[in-house]
Amino acid sequence: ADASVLKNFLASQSVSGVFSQQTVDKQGKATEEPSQGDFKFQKPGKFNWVYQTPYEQVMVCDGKELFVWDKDLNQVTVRNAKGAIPQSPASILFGQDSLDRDWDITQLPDKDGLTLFKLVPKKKDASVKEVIFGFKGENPELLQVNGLMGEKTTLQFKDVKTNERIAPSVFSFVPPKGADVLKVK
Amino acid sequence: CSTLSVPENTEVWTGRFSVLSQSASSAERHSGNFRFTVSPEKKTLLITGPLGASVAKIEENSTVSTMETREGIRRARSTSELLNQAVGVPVNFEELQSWLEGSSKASAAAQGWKVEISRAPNGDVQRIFGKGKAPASDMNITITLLPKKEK
Repeated sequence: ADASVLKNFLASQSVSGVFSQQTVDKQGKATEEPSQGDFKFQKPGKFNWVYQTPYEQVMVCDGKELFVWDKDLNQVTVRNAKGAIPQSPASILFGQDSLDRDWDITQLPDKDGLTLFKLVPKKKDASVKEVIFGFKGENPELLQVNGLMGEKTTLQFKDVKTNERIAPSVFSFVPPKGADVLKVK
Repeated sequence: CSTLSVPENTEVWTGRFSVLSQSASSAERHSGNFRFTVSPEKKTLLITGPLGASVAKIEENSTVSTMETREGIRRARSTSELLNQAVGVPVNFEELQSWLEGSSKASAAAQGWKVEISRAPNGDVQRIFGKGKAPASDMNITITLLPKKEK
């Protein structure tokens, strides 16, 4: 399978799609309910990542600040985007401007019709052990994040579209009235 | 995919939480998911963060309290010591369980916590709001829990 699929995809200027996420522990037992949501990315550094279920959580980054709105908790936490992005799903998918600098990348044998890549972080204090990226044709279909305690989170993607125009308003966030807003220095 | 089942004679609470740590000069807030399992042999608290990443798994049985994190496994005298290290909330499992059951008034005061519990129309505990102090520091801690009792 074509090794350039990963590089071509990460060169996209914008990406959008829908995901479902499930986490299991090292015994393969589910540790939390499956979750669903959607995502949009726009280079440089903007993204909108929404968990709809089981809890509604909105993460919006305008390139400068990251807003995390927890609807049920009715709390908005605002952080500088620089320090915050590595902790969010975005950094693994699209936040990287230089993949080779931060990850050791190897292509794995194809499986279930997917072109697979394994990304191992070069930094020793990284928050993940490794990431497996699965593509069907040109588009990502699977992202598996292997955690440092043996847990495994699998994201399945659908309706992925690249390089489409996304309205700038998608990447700006106004805290809802009555929300408990905290700006973290 | 494997579903979340509640084993025989076991109680399970899951939910969202957030912890706000504030002092005169700084404030920080973290949120995540939790799963608290109480069985005759042991109590287990699993804390997860973004992308389902495990933050800490704390267990207490009749003899020891342990915590597994990415750094490895460590023991401690009490679960409140471990919970304080994991998320900055010095509350022990007995206390946490009394909050989740909605019966916290007496013991909370003893621990120096002010706890407010709001319930759903059907009486289920819906939101827990706890205010306390971090040990040996000027940090005020506010924890918000949105628990769901698994059936």
